[in-house]
Amino acid sequence: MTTQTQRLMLKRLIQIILGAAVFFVAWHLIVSGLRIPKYLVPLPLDVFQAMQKNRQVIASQAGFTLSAAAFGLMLSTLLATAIAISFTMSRNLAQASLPVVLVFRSTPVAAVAPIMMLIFGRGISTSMAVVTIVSFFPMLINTMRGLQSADRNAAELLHVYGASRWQQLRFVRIPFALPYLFTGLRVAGSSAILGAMLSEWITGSKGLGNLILESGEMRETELLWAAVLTSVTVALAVFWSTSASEKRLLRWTHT
Amino acid sequence: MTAALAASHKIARASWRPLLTGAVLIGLAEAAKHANLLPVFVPSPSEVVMEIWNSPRLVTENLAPTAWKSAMGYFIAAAIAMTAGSIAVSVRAVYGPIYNFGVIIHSIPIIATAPLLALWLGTGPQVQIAIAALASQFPMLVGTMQGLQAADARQRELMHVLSASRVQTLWMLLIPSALPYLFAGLKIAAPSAVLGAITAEWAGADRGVGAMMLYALFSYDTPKVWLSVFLTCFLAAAGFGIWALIERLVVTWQRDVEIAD
Repeated sequence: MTTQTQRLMLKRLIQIILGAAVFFVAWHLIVSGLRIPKYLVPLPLDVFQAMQKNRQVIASQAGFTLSAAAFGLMLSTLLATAIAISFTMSRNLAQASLPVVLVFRSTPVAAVAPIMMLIFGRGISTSMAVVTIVSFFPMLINTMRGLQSADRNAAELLHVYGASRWQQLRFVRIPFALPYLFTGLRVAGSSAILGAMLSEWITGSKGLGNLILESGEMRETELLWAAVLTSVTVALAVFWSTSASEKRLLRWTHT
Repeated sequence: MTAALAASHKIARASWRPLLTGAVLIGLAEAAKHANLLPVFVPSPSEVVMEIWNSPRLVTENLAPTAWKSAMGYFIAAAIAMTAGSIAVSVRAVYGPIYNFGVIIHSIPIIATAPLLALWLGTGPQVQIAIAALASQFPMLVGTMQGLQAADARQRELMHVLSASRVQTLWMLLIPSALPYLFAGLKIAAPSAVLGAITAEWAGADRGVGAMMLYALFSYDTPKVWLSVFLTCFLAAAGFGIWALIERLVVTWQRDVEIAD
């Protein structure tokens, strides 16, 4: 089992590396073959050089974006789990407050970000607040779905044993909810990075979003491409790692 | 026509309660602001309304370009996503690549592409249209792909036994079973297109809700910020609502399917 999964992961890794290699070679050949001017699309090697030269800047800006995204995600996971548990414990509370939750769910980031900026000013706290709000709803919905997905036989067994509500929660509902929590993280993860970058964009605080914007305005094409590549890599890494852990956990519950 | 009438009756009956709640909330906010209970960054509703009253051109001149750009991007994305989705379902070999391509575009932070697109397409409305399209393609792609596979094997076999032609199968089985999924995708994608257009306007545009929002933020004009926020929500809700209405009129046989995100 373990050797098989290891081999599978190795194969996936090789696939990703090969895909990236093909992508960069094709990029180089197309740009140099069609003589596309450098200010439109620079050569991949130049982009890597720019990345090398500015690696401290890029790393520190990416650090700002990632820490805003991670902090926001953590906060919204805690909040969403607490609220989801209280919703499943009390039906009345859920019925009373779900409509409010649904209204907030459909407010777009573009509408949340300026109000957060009015409240928190031009700093990293605005990004954190935006990420928390944006990722709260996918987390809440998926955690609630998970808590309600508990196997009926298992729940009945615990009922027969005379388990308390907390024991029900601890031994049945939460284990069954874990994979759904990761589904929530997968959906929320990509919107968290996006939310962090968007709020940096309008607040002008430090981070990858602002680095991209500034190097675009300064016409520093190589740095712009380096920053864009970094942000895309970060977003894809978050997406892939969360969906991989989701898959693993789903397999764990089904077997 | 009777269907439309019945639908509008139903909507009126379902919406009076939320409307009443909204009116009460607005009244409470107004009272709280006059009693100095609200912080400075929350204006009273009347201030926001006065903003429209004083300069109606501010609203029309910024709302129309954003609506137009999001709609353009949205329809371009819809055309491409539906074509790609149909190809993916009918040609098995390209199913994986097309889906993965959609996933990758979907997980790229859209604002990362804005400066690049500005370099390629110039600084006109093209960039905003392109980003609206990129931001909204994924739900429509997934909706098309899931929808065209929604008819189950027994139904397909029945069509085969009845010796239906391919066109008949498509028209009588595949399209009716695909429509609920397609509408689900179209509904979800509409607010994303608005969001894409507005964020692209942040990167540089002289007209539009996003530009108005940015100007208001930098001059700390609180009522104007809130007005632009409400306009954003209005556009997103309108995009969703139009498709929900069309869905109610068209899809009478099945409703409320869920597409994977």
